[in-house]
Amino acid sequence: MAKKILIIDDDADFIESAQALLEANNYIIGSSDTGKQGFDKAKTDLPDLIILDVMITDASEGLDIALQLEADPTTTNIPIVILTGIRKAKHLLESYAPQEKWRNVKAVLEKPLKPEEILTTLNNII
Amino acid sequence: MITEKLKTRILISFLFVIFILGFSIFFLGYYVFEHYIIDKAKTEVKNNLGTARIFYSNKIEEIKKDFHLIDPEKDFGKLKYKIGLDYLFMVSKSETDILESEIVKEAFFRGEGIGGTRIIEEKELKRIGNLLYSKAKIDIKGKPLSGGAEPQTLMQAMAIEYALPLYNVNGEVDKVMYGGKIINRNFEIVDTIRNFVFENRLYKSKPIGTVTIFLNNIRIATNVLDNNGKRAVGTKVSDIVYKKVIGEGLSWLDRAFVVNNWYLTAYEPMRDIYGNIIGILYVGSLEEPFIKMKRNIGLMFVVMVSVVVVLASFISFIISGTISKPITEMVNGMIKISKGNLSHRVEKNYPVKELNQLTDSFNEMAEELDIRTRALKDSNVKLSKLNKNYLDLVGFVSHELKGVLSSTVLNANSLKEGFLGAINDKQKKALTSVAKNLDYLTATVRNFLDLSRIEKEELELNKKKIRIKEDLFDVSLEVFLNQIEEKEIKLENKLAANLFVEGDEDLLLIVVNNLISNAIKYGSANGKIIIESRKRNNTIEIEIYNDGEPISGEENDKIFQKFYRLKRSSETKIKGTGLGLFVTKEIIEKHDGNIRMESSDTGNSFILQLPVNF
Repeated sequence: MAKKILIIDDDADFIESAQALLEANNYIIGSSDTGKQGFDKAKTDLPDLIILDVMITDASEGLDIALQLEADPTTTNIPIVILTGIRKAKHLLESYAPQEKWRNVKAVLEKPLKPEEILTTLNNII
Repeated sequence: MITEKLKTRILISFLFVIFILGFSIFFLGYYVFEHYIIDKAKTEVKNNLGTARIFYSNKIEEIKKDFHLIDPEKDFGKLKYKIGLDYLFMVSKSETDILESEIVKEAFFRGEGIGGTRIIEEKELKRIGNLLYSKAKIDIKGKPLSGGAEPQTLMQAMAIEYALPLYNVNGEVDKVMYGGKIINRNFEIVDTIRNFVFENRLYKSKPIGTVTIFLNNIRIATNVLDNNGKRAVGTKVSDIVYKKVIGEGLSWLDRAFVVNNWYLTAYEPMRDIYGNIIGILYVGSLEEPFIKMKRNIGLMFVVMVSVVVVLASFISFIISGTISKPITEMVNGMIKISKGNLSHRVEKNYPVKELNQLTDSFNEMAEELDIRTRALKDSNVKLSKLNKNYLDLVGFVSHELKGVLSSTVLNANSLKEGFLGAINDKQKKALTSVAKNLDYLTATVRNFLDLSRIEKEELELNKKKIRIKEDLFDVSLEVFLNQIEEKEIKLENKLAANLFVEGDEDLLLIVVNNLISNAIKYGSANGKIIIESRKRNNTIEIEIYNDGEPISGEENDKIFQKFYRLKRSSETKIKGTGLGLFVTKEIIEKHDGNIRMESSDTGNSFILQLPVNF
């Protein structure tokens, strides 16, 4: 069965390009351009994976959403891939909230991305 | 506080000199003065004694004169009274054998008038008259002279006597007229002498001057008073004086304790006509007034010197203040200025030219300093602003670009890989070129972002233990694999496994990416890239070598500079920002390491050194 992926990002062009690529690789794509909307959609759609941009409207809003998703029992088991444009991908989570376990975040990728990067990462997770 | 020190120092120096001078003057003056006074006093007393002697002798001369004027035939009783003698006799030659007076004997013998002093014994005294005898008798007071028992009453009398021989018609001495005064209790003589010499002055109701005549060692006529205010008749002379004057026949000149006071005294022996010592003539001046005068003058001297010292001290206090004040002002001024108060100026109102010059210079310097500092601050502020603006701009632009790149890179590569549909060769070629340039653009943007953060000093190290090969180089090489293959470069990865270093993973990855990227860019096609590691003591060395055109020594210094691009002989233009090595160096140095380049005939090596402290 094709996997469902939700992309939460405010860059419409990026969503478009990602969608084109992923659909060509048999993924079903849903998207949202605000954090709030994204969260709600996650709850209703229950995707297999969420791609979440760190800076949706402001810095680290994406991280807050990630935490919310983890907190909510319906979405807590959905794996998340975080995209960041800020250098510091690997320490992003620790520096934001070191006490959190970030259990649901499976990978952090740095934009701009190449197709291989996304595809390999998704493959490994789902 | 410097004020205290300098001023005090100067003051103390002044005071030191002043006091030394003051004391020297004082002691010298006092010493000189004291001696002068003492000498003068002594001389005076000596003179007084001389005068007393003359006066005494004069008394005898008086009798002589009177004798020559009187008529021996007249009544002796009346004559005696008229002249003022105590006794007056005429003795004839036939009575010479019962004569006691040696003066009379001599007169007979020599046939000429003789005067002098003689001792009259008790027997003669009684014969002369009972009144006289009673008058002459003196109770002796005081301790006996060392040596034995002594009579308690003086039975002798001292007298001044004159004997005049009288000639008969034959020219022979047949009679001698003689008379004299008893000195015992004859206060007239001593008082007259005293009055003449000392003018009867008193000091605290004590007579300043005193005169005494001693028979042997006993006062027989004196105006020295005892404790009851009575003439100290019958008292004795001191042992020392007795020894010297009567014993040795010498004068005595010194201060002596007479009865109950200290006197400046002079004693000399009194002799009879044969030269035997029969008594002492004494004059004495009360020492007290002298002492008092000495003291007064001394006190005056002290006061004067003290006043001068105080005055001098006061003046030196002022002077030391005057000297230290400008210096202190300037020192304080400097302190204020160095603390940042650049508008502080020093007063320039001193009566000393050089000081005013100094303060002028000081103020000028302060002014200069103020102006320059302001200018510097201004330009600093401007520069900071400019720099900040620049960096903000760089960061902003880079960030914006990254946003743009996100979708573009994804699209271009998706197309190129055929994910969005099949493409022909031409399309593939075009898209490959697009992708490559986008890679370059991404790298550039990343470099600029790194630069911005380094320059803004926002580079924080998130240190942890990393494996050089597995966590850094292997990761990086994977990304560059395509490019390596395209250029047909032979890669030799000789890095040791599990080689740990402590550092920031992201930043070190940037470093490795830069070095690998450079090695590929500037490496010859078909050439080698060799990566190896060495461990020594607590340093790890990593060498990245690539075949290629060796970099000259001259360029070696410059390659780590911002925006520097190598000058290549080949025509192919190599794209780059010139930032890679700069950023690399900054990061490595932040890790307390260093980086250098070594070239050989075949190519170039970049050698990293990182400390290992665990």
